[in-house]
Amino acid sequence: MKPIERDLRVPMRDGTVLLADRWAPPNGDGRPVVLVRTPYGRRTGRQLVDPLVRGGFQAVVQSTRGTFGSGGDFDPLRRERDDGLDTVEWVAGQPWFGESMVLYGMSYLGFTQWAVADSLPPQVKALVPGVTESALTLEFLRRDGFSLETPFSWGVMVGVQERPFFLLRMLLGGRRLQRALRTLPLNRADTAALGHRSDYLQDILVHDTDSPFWRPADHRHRVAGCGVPVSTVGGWYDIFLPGQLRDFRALPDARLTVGPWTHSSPDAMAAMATEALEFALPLARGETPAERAPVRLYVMGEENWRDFPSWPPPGYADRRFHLHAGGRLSTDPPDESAPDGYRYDPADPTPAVGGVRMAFGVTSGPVDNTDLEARADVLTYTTPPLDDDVEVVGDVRAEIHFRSSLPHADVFVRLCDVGPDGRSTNVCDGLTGVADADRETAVEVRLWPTAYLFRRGHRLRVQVSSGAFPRYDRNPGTGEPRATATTLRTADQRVFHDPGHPSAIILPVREVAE
Amino acid sequence: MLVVHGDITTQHADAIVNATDPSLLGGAVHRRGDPAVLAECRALRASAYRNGLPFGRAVATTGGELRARWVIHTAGPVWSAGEDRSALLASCYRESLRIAGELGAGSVAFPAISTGAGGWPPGDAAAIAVRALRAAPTGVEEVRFVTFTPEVRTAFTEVVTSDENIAAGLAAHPAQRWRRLFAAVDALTPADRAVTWETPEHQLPYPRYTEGFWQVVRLLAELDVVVPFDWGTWSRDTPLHPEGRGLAGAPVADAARLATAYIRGERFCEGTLESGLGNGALDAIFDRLRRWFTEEHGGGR
Repeated sequence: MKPIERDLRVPMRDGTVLLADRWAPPNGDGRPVVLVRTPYGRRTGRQLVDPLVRGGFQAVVQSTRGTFGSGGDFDPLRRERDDGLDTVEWVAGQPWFGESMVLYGMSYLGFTQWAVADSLPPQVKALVPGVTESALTLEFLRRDGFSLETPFSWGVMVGVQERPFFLLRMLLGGRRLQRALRTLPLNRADTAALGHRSDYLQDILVHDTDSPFWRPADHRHRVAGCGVPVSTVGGWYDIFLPGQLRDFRALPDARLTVGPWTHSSPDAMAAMATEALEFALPLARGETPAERAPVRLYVMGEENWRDFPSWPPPGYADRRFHLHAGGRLSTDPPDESAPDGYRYDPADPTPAVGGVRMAFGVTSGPVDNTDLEARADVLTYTTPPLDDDVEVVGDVRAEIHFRSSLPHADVFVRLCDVGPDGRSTNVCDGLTGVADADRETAVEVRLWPTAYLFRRGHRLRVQVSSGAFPRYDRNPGTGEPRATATTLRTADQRVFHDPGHPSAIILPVREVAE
Repeated sequence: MLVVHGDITTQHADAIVNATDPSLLGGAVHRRGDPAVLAECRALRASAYRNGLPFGRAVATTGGELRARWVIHTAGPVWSAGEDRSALLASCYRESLRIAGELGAGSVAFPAISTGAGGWPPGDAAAIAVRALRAAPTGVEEVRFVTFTPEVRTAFTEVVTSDENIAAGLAAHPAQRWRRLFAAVDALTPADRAVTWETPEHQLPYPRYTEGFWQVVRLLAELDVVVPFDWGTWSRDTPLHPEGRGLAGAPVADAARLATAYIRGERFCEGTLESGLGNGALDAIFDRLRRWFTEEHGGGR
């Protein structure tokens, strides 16, 4: 299939012209429109568009401002509100437009939907945003835990995506990129990776989540005002999952599908196409989609799709699994015991192994954690083999009583499933940066939400360490700003587990009917 | 101090200066349009500056959604053939820099104030700007001029890379820091001057300079002996390059230019600094700097 019209000129309110392609079968005029706005090139969207057009839509795929021939400068994330509204209005005024349209797309393409979600004209009937959230990437820029790898490699990718042999460059450049992430100070890493400075890569180093600079990229406040039904598709190992679930909870009318997927999983894309055809297309035609539970989750461990009435689902209660001396994990409260310790060296930082990652050439999702757990800078706490299944569905957090020899430190917590063969596989994790870390603090760590069945005979394991580099930037221990930090200081960390300092991971465990 | 070409509103700096008019509602920042900055300017007009911001004065607002944390607004005078208003133009720079310093800004980006609608001849405007900023004591570490037209860029580049301004950059560093450089130069041993080459397998050979030698190179950079200018063209045209012959009789700025050509050149062609050690160029640079230090900087006394 080929576009029926190429390079349609879509004028924006400031005079800038963005380009779009239209895809439709012969005599396809008047069909419901699926509108996709992408910064990654509108011609690469074939796999994305094909099933939708075959299923009954006509598709409009637009290149966002400053990308692939569209006018203006590419100012990532900050210009999608006005451009999106102008584009929706333009589509509705075209001769080939019928009566309805839906907005569709993953990641950045989903974010462009949130940017306009509270001001949609009546012609828009549904949104299908996947592996995305309304404050895209801002979670990465938290002051108390800077996700280095994903926004950095994304910035490099969009920096070279319009050059010839782009994919080859990214594949061959993977090692260069990984080396660049080790550059000190970090504000020179863009030059190390690209050969020149990049506005976006400087911006993510200088402006954290709360900076007014990112206000135009934050559409969280629009979600509750979304006037149309939404179907949102996510992955348990996706980089945007926490924000996506926050958005889902704020939505007045929505359904949720979460699979065992990473950010760029083809299965997530297939699930989205299904939602476009089974949910959005009927709505666009003024029909009612087939009944389905509001929340459909893939329960890992059980390896099965299950329906739930809401997120987080009812019937699960928080249970504390306490850290104990001797590397034990148990629901019993801890006894008097001396803290455990380890030495964190930012010059040889604890590595990120699998899990929530997105960069060219890195492995994400569940992996074998044996080598990671063998490191001296990773503590582990493990239950005995389970007598019964333990089913965990919902938000996961940990409370770690912690002290560092330095005033600045990070606490990384990971939950693993240890099989009968002794192999430890990561389920979910999270990191919190601590100020005044040289005083004993109860550090709250929010892990990724999950749905996981720990089988009888398996064991739960909790890892505690001080980093997952380069997914999270290494903590230099000095408190220097992340853009300019150059000094790395080794820290001696303490993790407490006694009655006065009961460190624990808190899991939403399925309540068994008595 | 350097000159870059582009749009001042997208600069990465702690503060950017908006060349406005007394209404406080003009200038590049407002043309780009930032709601928070505009609102603060309106509020200033309604309170402290009911009669407008006087020419030569400056006032700071938030940076809003811009990259900069602060915008410093200054009202640039219109050029007049009949009246010398250069004191007002100098005051724009001085006042803006003072306010930036008070805010704690480490870097400030200036436009070429009054060269646009103000009609100020670019060469004259550049000379006034550089003189005013050089004369003002400040905690601001980096000053950048952001120019919008080729003529203004040429004019500012000429002044910023002039003999006088380069020498002023050198003189801005305290004698103590210069003494540290000369001590490091004196401490160079024959081993520091003999560069060895590593020849790893499957990799191009590269020179290994000693830590003592790098110390000297780092100090040269810290002392602004390494200056941003078109060293490629300069070294092709000057008789001073490559050996530094005649440097003793040249302005001290030429020592900085030659040092820049060698130090920057090393990045493009490894071994450039080694040749500078061998052909006497680096020693000629050290000698010229030392003479300037004792005779002109006054640090020898």
